[in-house]
Amino acid sequence: MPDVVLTAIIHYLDFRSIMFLRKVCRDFRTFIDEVVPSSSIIGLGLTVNQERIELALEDSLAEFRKVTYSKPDQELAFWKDLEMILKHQKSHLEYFTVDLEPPENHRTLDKSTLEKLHSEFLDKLQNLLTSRKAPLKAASLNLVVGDQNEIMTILPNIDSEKLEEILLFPATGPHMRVFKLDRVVETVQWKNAKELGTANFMVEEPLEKFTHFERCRICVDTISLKLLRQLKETFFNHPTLESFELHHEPHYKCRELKHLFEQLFEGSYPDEVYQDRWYSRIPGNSEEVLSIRSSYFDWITFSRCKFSEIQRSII
Amino acid sequence: MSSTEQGTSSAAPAEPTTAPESAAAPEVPESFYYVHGKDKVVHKVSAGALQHSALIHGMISNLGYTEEQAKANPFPFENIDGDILQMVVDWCNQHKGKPTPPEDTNLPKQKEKLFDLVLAVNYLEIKELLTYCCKQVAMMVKGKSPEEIREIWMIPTDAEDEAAEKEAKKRAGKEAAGETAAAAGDAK
Repeated sequence: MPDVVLTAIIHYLDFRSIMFLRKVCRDFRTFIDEVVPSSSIIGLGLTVNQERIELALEDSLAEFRKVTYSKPDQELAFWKDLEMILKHQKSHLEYFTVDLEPPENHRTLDKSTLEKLHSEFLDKLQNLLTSRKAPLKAASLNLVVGDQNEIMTILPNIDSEKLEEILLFPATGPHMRVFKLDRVVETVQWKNAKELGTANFMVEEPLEKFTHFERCRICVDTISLKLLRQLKETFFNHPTLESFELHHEPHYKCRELKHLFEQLFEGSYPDEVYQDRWYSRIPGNSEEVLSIRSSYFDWITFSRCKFSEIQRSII
Repeated sequence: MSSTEQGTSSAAPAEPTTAPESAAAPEVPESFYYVHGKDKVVHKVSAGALQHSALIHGMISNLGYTEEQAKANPFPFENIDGDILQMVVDWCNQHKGKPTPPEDTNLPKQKEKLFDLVLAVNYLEIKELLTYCCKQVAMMVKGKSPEEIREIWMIPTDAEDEAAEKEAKKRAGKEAAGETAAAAGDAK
C-alpha cells in the first residue's frame, strides 16, 4: 500500500485501531514507527494504587476506554503502552489526570513511607515526560497527589503555553492539612495557567501567588481584613481576574464576617440563596462592580457583575 | 485498440457533454481529452472533469494538445482496470466544476474494487476521491483486531509472507538452474 494512502487511512483511525494496525504486519509496524502518526486521544487519565494501574483514554474518534493493569505482572505492559501513547501524542490533550491512590491504611503510615509509595511510578512517568522531544500539551492538569514533590515530577514537564487549568487535590493526610506549594508557585506552568482549583487542603503561600489566575479557588486557615482588602484591590487592578473563591476554616461567627464586609464594601443587596451579597464599585469602571457572596461560615467568593443588574436591589 | 468512444458516462449529470454548437453561444468550446485503461476502452472526458486529477491535468498542461492530437493520443493507463477507470471518469464527470461534498456514499462496496479504486485514484492524484476512499477503507478496520484487519484487507501474516518469499526464491532458483542446464544442452 503506498505511503500516501496508508497515511490517509490512518488519519481516520482512532489510536487503538492504529496500534492494532501496527500489529498486522512488519511493513505497517515499520511505517507507523517511522511516521509516528498523531494520536486522536484527547484525554488521558492514570490512576495508580498498590494493586493496579488504570489507564483511561478518551479518543475523539472512539469510545472512552479504561484499561486495568494488575501489579506487578502487567506493569511492564502498562509502561510500554504509555510510552507508545506519549510517543504519538502530538496534539494537545484536553485533560491529563494523575491520581495517586494511597493504600487503605495510609493514615497509619509514617511520612517517609507515604513519600515513597509512588516514587517508582513517578520516576518512570517523569522519565517518559522528560524524554519527549516537545513537552506534553494539556489544557487541564488534574493531580491527586500526596505532596509538592509529587506535583514537581509532573507539572514542570507539561507545556506551559497550552496549560490553562491546574486542579490539585491531596491524596493523603488529614482533612484540610497545609499543603506546601512554594516551589510549585514558581513554575512557569503555574504562572501561565488561567485557572486553579483546589480542595481539601490549605495553602500558606502569599495571596499574590494566586491572583494572576482568571478563576481561582483556594482554602486558607484564617481570613483577615488585610487579606480581604488585598483581594478587593487585586480585583480593582486586574481586569482579567473573573472570580476568586476563598474558602476558610469556620473560625468566625456570622456577625464577625458581616463586620469585616461592612468595613470593606460599599453596601449589600439581597441574594436569592445566600442571604445577602456585598458589592464595591470598581474605580474607573462605571459598568462593573465587585460582588461578594459568602456563606457567612466557611467561604467567600469574589466576582464581577454589571452594576445595572444590582442597582435596583441595593439596600 | 478498440475505440469505443464514450462521452460522459451514464452516471454523469444531465449537462451537455459537448460544447454547444449554436452560433448564439459565445463561450469557448470545451476541450476534451481521451484516456484508456488496461482494457483499451477509450473514454472521452472534458478538461474540466479531468482537472480533479493532478496527474492528468499536469500532462494536459505540458503537452498542449490540439483536439485532433488529443484524440489521436489517448492517455494510456495500463495499470488501471477498465471498470475502475470508468468509475474514476464517472466521478470526475459528476463532480466537474462543483465543490466536493464532505462525504461520498457511492463508492464500491466490494472491497477488492475499493482497493483497486484507491490505488488508481492515488496514481491519478485525485485528492478528494482519495480522501473518500481512504475514509471508507479506514472504517472497514476501525476497532478491529490485527487478525480481523489481516482478513479484511487480505494481508498475509509475516510468517506467511516469509514462507511465500522463500518459495518464490526456491522456484526462481530452480528455473534458473533449468535454464542453465537447457543452455548447456543447446551448446552441445
